[in-house]
Amino acid sequence: MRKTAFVAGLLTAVFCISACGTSVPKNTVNSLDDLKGKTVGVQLGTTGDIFAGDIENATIEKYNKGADAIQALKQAKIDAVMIDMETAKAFVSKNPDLKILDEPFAQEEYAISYAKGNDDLGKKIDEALTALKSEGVLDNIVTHWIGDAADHVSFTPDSSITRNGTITMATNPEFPPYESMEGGKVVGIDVDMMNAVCDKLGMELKIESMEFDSIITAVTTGKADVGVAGMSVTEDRLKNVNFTQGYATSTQAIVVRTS
Amino acid sequence: MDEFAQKLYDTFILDDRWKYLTNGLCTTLIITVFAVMIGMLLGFLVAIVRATHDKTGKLKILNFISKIYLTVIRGTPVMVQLLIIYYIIFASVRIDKTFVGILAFGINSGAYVAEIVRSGIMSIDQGQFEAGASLGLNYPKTMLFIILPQAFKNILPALANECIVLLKETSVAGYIALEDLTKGGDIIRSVTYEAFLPLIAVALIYLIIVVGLSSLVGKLERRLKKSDRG
Amino acid sequence: MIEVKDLRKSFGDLEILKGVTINIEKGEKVVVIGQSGSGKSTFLRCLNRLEKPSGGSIMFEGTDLIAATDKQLYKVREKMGMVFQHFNLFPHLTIRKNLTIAPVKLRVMSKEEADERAEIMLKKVGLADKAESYPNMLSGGQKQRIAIARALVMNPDVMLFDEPTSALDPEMVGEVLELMKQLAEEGMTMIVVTHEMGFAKEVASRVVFMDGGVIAEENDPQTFFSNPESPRLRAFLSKVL
Repeated sequence: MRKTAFVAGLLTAVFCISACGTSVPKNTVNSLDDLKGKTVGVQLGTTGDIFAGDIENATIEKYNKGADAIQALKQAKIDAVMIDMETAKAFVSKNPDLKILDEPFAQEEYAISYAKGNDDLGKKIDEALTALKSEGVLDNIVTHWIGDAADHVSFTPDSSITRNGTITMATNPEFPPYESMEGGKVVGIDVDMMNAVCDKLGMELKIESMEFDSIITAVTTGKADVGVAGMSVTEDRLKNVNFTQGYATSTQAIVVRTS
Repeated sequence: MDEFAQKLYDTFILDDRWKYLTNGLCTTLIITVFAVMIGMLLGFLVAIVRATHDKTGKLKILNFISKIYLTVIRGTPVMVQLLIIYYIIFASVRIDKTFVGILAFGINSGAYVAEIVRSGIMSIDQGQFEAGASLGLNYPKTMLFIILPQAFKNILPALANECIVLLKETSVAGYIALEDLTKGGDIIRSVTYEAFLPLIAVALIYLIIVVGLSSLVGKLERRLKKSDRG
Repeated sequence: MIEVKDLRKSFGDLEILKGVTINIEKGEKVVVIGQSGSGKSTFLRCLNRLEKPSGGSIMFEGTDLIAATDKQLYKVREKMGMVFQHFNLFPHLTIRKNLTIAPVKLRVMSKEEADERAEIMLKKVGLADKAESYPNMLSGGQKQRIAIARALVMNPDVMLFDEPTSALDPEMVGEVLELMKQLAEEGMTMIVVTHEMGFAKEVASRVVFMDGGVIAEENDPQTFFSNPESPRLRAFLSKVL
């Protein structure tokens, strides 16, 4: 009996300790300028990581996953999260206690990365993208994932095509709506787009999931043919890989607690 | 060759990137040292509780709690424990992450230290307990002055190894955005998109520390053996 | 000094002591003999409560050892020196520390007093030159003499010996028995479990024969050895003498 009572007491104590923290500190960030000297969470290796590095006196916490940074923000361990706009919207729609600050950032372009020297493949994908854009396929895919009418229906590859060879795509499925896990599968705009590209090229698509900061290394070392992960074209990245034409534009977003 | 020099420059020199490694190393060492202290303290306490219960049948409740602690900690990965402490135990609390790391790894290490110390205590001949008792020393005094000094000598190498294991285990600290040595390498990797140099550098630093510590442990063992021979 | 009444001890289902009753006066030298398994060692270990009796009573200098609190028990043990078959010296301490650790940690003596007393005891057992040695540098006989000195430092009222020479090489038995004889001559109350019949004959004031968990026969050594009453004792003596 005493044992049970003691354990019960112990558990209560633990819950009390956790409960102590339920009063989340107030949000103090209402503009980009407010970020000075604050703690900003980012996903390691993303554009947000690069941008946040320029904020005066800010402490940057580099999480392995965007979702971890959001979690830390909700628990007030950090003051804001800097992340790509569409992903920010996806997180905010699921977390009513979070909001996106209305701050204009420069537009960036998402593009598909491939290894330097693999220009054959790059060129073929580039041509396929041009075709998909002019046929309206790409716009159609995006409407399934972004906007009020988004129904999250994945693109269906054409089963009548005979396929030769595979394209291995490195991605980080923690970046909705571009890629995320649903029902044990990687889904999203990037996946649909690559399926459409593969239809054009008559090739098989294979998806490799990994940490975001490993994607370019995977491409340069040949572990993957392309990197497709809502990845913006930057100077540093261009030093290591080539990019196709852009397929989407995005901006950075600052996510904070609503109150 | 020029290309390699350029990579070296990009990885370590440009923007003072080597600082990610040195600062990371500092964090790793701070976490390890303090976690070892917490682990030893916790481990010895738990081991004494467990051994006392085994020998005398007393301390039933404390022994029960200790058993739960050992089962839970040794039955779950340290990374999960780290995430639980950061996101659940200290939910909604702004808390120094180094402290979280120290706590998580200390609590984790304590469980392993406890079993090492307990085996050390149990390996001491029952006659030593009896000799202490026959002289009028009570159980705590016998434990403190007679048993633990002998047990400690026997388990010193195992304890030192536990420290080395702990040092390497702290490499998952990056999961709560702690910038330890491993994370330092990851950060460099995320800006240079070049895996070889940062990873090899991180591995080498760990290796040098571990080899250094191991040779110290070896020396210690040899010295202890000498004093055993008399 | 020690009054034992109907002492019983079981280990699980196995009853080792089946009712031992004996009174031991100050200054007596009681030698306990008997076959292995007769319960003589268990009897001795019950006297200072290294084993917890299952029944009966033990009074030592007016303290009831069955009802005693742990605290009282430790106090009593300071007054009962014990010497073990396997010496049980503390291997991590020097001989001097082996002797002084109990009195110093129990605060019955200051460190200086304890060192002084250790010096005297080491001289008494003839090993004054070993003070700074460690136990594993000594021979078996020397170890047992140190163990006796360690018990004596506490200034006990009675000494319990649990087969003190059984683990020794034959050539070392003599030096230990000699020391015990010397102690006896100085008037120490002693209870000795042993197989050394010569020692029993020469030193004992009373010899006790234990058999099957009870005291089967006790007498002064003269009568005990020359005129044993029970056939069991006669059979035992014919084997060991």
